[in-house]
Amino acid sequence: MTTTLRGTLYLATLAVLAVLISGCAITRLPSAGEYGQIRSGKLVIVLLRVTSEVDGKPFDAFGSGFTDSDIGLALGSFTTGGDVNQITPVFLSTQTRESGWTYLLLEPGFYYLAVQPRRSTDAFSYAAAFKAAPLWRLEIPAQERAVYVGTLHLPGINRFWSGMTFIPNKIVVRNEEELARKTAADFFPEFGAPVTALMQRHDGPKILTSPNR
Amino acid sequence: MKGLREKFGLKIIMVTALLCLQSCIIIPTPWSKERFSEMELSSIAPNLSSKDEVLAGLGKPDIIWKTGSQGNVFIYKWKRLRAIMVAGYGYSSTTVDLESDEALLILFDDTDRVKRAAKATKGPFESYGDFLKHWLERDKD
Repeated sequence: MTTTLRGTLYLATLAVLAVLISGCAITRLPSAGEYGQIRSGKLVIVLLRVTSEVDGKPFDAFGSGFTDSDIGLALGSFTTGGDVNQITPVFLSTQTRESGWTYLLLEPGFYYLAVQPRRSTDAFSYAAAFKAAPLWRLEIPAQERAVYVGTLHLPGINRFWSGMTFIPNKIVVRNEEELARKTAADFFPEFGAPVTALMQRHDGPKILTSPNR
Repeated sequence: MKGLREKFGLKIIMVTALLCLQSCIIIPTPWSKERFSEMELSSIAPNLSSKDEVLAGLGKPDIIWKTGSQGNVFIYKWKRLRAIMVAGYGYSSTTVDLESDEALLILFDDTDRVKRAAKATKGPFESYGDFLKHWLERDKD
């Protein structure tokens, strides 16, 4: 095999691996730099749990560990003008991921969360569909280190021709602050019990505040 | 025959290449409409119009930006179609809408009177947050 061909094959293999790995779940605690920003009040740990059921049977929102096979999340902020863009959830551990826990590191302010069932269309259509999805408003207070924004429960049904679909009028935000306190104590004992600031279903003009820089 | 080939050969090759090779054209769309008419925009008078009058005239904004020290800003946003790009290759083609992000920003003072109102276009490479901050900073000048 010539050197050029070997090099090309090597690069092609790396590219394929990168595509495959990019869809895998990210399990990591905040970095040292991020911990510093949390201690200084610039960032807040935002705990969120997503649970689901399909046709009455429990469904793990992030059970597969692959972004395309899990429930999709999108977030809007001041930087995006409130428009939601799909995010890759980050998890504390495999066990908490399978229980539906994820976390965000956000500056104090207003954010907008949208969710979709797992992807069954092309990636571009799926990303665009978030903009028409229902929104929940997160209000992250300043002066706090950890905030629990609620457990979003998403009942759904499976349709043969379109895959999983949520039942909009049965989606609820549950308050599981005891579970949130336990999760925070296991992973972020330094910051104490998280403050509960449940997300709210949002309609009308989006409210934005400038980040404190 | 040889004369025809010499006379038209290069032109035939060029036309064939234009037909078969990838090409695109951009069609400007000056007829595309703005979200608000000039009459609606002229009804907003700095130091005179109140927040209620703005809501009655233009409806609810898409965003309410609470700037903190400088007051609240109503933001009405829309996309304006600037041109249509048609890209062709062989027997197929596709069209792409070339749009710009437009916004009407209305800054209110602490008595809920219009302090400043202006239409602005977000740059293609700046974030929406930076676009808002740059617009507000112009108010300080």
